[in-house]
Amino acid sequence: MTILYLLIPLSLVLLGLAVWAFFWAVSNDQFEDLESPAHRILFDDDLPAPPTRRRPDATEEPPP
Amino acid sequence: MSAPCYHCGTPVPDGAPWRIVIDETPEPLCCPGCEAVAHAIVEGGLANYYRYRTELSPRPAADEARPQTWAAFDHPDLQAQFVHTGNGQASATLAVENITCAACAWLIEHHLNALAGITQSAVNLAEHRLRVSWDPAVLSPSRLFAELAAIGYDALPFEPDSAYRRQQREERMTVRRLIVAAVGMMQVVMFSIPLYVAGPGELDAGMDALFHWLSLALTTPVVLFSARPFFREAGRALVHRRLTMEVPVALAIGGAYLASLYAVVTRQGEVYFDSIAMFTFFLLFSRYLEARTRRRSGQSGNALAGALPAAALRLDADGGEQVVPASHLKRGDRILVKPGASVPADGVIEQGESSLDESMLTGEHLPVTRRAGERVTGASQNMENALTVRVTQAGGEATISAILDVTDRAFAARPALARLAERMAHRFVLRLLLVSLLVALAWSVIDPGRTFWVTLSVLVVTCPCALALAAPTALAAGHGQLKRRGVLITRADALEALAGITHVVFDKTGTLTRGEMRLTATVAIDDALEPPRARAIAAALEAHSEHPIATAFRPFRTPALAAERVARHPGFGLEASLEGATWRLGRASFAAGRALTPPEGPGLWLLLSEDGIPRAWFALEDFPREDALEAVDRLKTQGLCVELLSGDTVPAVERLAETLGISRWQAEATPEGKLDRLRALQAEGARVLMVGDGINDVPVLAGADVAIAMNGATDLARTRADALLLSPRLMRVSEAVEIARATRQVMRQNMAWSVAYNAVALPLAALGLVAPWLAALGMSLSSLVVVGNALRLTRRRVNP
Repeated sequence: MTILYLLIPLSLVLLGLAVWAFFWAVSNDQFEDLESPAHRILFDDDLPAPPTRRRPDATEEPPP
Repeated sequence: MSAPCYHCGTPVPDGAPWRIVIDETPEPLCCPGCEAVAHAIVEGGLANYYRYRTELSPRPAADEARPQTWAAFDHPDLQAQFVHTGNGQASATLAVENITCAACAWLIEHHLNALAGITQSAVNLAEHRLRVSWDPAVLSPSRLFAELAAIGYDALPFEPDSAYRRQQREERMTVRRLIVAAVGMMQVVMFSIPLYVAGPGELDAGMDALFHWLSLALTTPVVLFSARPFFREAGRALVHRRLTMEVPVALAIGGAYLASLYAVVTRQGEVYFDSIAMFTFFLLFSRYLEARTRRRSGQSGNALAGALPAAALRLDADGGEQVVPASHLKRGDRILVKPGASVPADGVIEQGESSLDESMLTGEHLPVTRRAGERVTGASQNMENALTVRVTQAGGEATISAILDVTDRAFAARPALARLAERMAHRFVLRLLLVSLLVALAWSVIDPGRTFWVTLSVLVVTCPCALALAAPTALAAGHGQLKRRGVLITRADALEALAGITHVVFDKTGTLTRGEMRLTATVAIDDALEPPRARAIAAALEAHSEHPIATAFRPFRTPALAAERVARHPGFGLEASLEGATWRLGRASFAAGRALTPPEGPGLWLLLSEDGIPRAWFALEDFPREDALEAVDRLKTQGLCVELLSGDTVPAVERLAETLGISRWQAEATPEGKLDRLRALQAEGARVLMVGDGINDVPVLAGADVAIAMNGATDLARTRADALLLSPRLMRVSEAVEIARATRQVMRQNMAWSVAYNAVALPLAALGLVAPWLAALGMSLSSLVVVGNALRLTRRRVNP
């Protein structure tokens, strides 16, 4: 059972890291919008769609 | 009618020429507005939007004055209020209207990201907001608004007000507290399991002490950080000599913690660390859920909402025009109000003659005619001709501010709601404390050594965990269910108030009706002109007008007919030449040159004449919403009295009341008159739900027990309402009442359960028969029952 004297402090360190990571996420707006990302992945950008763009500003676009 | 419009779903008029080709299939469209938007979407390569969407798109607004409003957003003073610049990048948050489903977010982001100069755009679906950053050297803000409008979305700048910022800060703090409580709870429970399962003597003393000290160390941040709001609120309640649910919660957490601390230090007695951590976590979590479902959406919380409604065209002394924000106008300024624009301030017409739509202010659905020398009111809409107006009252002095004054008074006098949970809490807490005191007294006589521990176990076992969770979990579930159905509750106790209402009062224009005119009948006078052709000619005459009458003819427009030399005669009608003849459309006295009796039937009758010869009659009406009748019927079967209060004329209101089967109605009511009627109802003991949209409804909305604003409501009406409809469906009102009642039911069940549990547990604890692990188990189980019961609310099916 003496291994517990090592494992418990170890788990406490991990705990501290977890709390720190969560706090970091909160201050970086990760919890602001919990709805949109769930929907966003549902839309597939690779689906075939008419590729032509006839908008006048299309030509002004700088090359990527 | 043929197939519905591919874009917005409204019926397409026969022979309409508007089409969009998708996958080589031509799809019908209902109007030029939908056509423009659909083409912008498809030609931008975003036709997949139609595949992804789960809701129909709203019909785009046809408002020619909007570019002027956008131009005002380029004004440096205004830009400074909502555009943030840094590193050569500009960024802003916009409140976007008309977002109906997740595909809208996809469409907006892809459309904007394809523009030169846009670096990033992200739509927040929960709050209907768009965060966008761009290169100010390439794009101006007005372009953003124009691009959003091109794909059918209206947007306004968003800048959080102080209340919104505070709410955001608090929410972040709650998440942090929740995380600490969750992590602490998991670990403390882990350390306490050996203490529960180990038999006597199985755990050596060192290990036992280690687990105790570890639990103490992990529970301390939970109590001091996570549970802090409970202590603060309990303290505040005691200062005001009230007993709220937080008092026993704080007492239980604090008492159990101090006792456990004492037990650890002196190595005698019981520890309750796991119960403390679990209890704190459950309570925080249910409160967080409830707060999240009430998060504001769209414009609410926007510090700019009041300042932005309009841009004004100010005329300089030398006749030049200058776009300025309406808030910059001063008394004596001369402004030009173009057709389609809203009047930015109160004033007197110097030049021009036009009809003005004052429905938002008065509820009257027909525009009124104003000539030079007559007064115009800010927030009314100019329909026909350009007007030059000298400003007499701007900003705080304007009529609209006077309505706000009445509103503030109504708001202050709003009936106070005795909240069910709070009342229960007060009684319950009082009894609990009395019983604990009695138990302590009794044990101090029987066995002074056990007094402290027995009293504590009474406090813990009866710990009002279930009772404290009873209301917030039910409310969270109810709010969530309503939000999914398109009703957003913005005031905390609105759901409880909604469950107890007895009367529903509706506004007419824009609430029960769509607020737009529709052609209901065409009567040809002789055989010279067939009704379809008459409609097409009338549509050609009205083609370039923003008048509500013109919108009624819009679906009948045919590209082959074009009117020339259109002359408008505000208040009478218009005249134009078409295919060699002079046509007039309007009042009979104007069109035919003499008074004629229109055919029998309801509505507003217009006469079409060819070279002075009467040809056809048209009847126009402001139509009730599709589900108005159904919604009124349902509300009645729910046992509610339905009333109609409108500022519109008697015949119009009477007819609508008759159609919908509303027996009690009042027409030509001023904002004050509406409030008086509300007061009279409330004096009779009625609890009133008001549903409205216009500025003239704002005082009543503020004074009602519960107020619901329509989705098209003015910002002013939204800020005074307790709930917003996110879609223009009136059935949502009756559903909201139904869900509110179900929520109240669940709340009562939960409270009954927790009171019953306490009634059983209390005597046992008082007799000193409850071991700490049993107390913790009982507490957790009773909480789970309460949470599970509340979750039943979320399983109700959503009707389309």
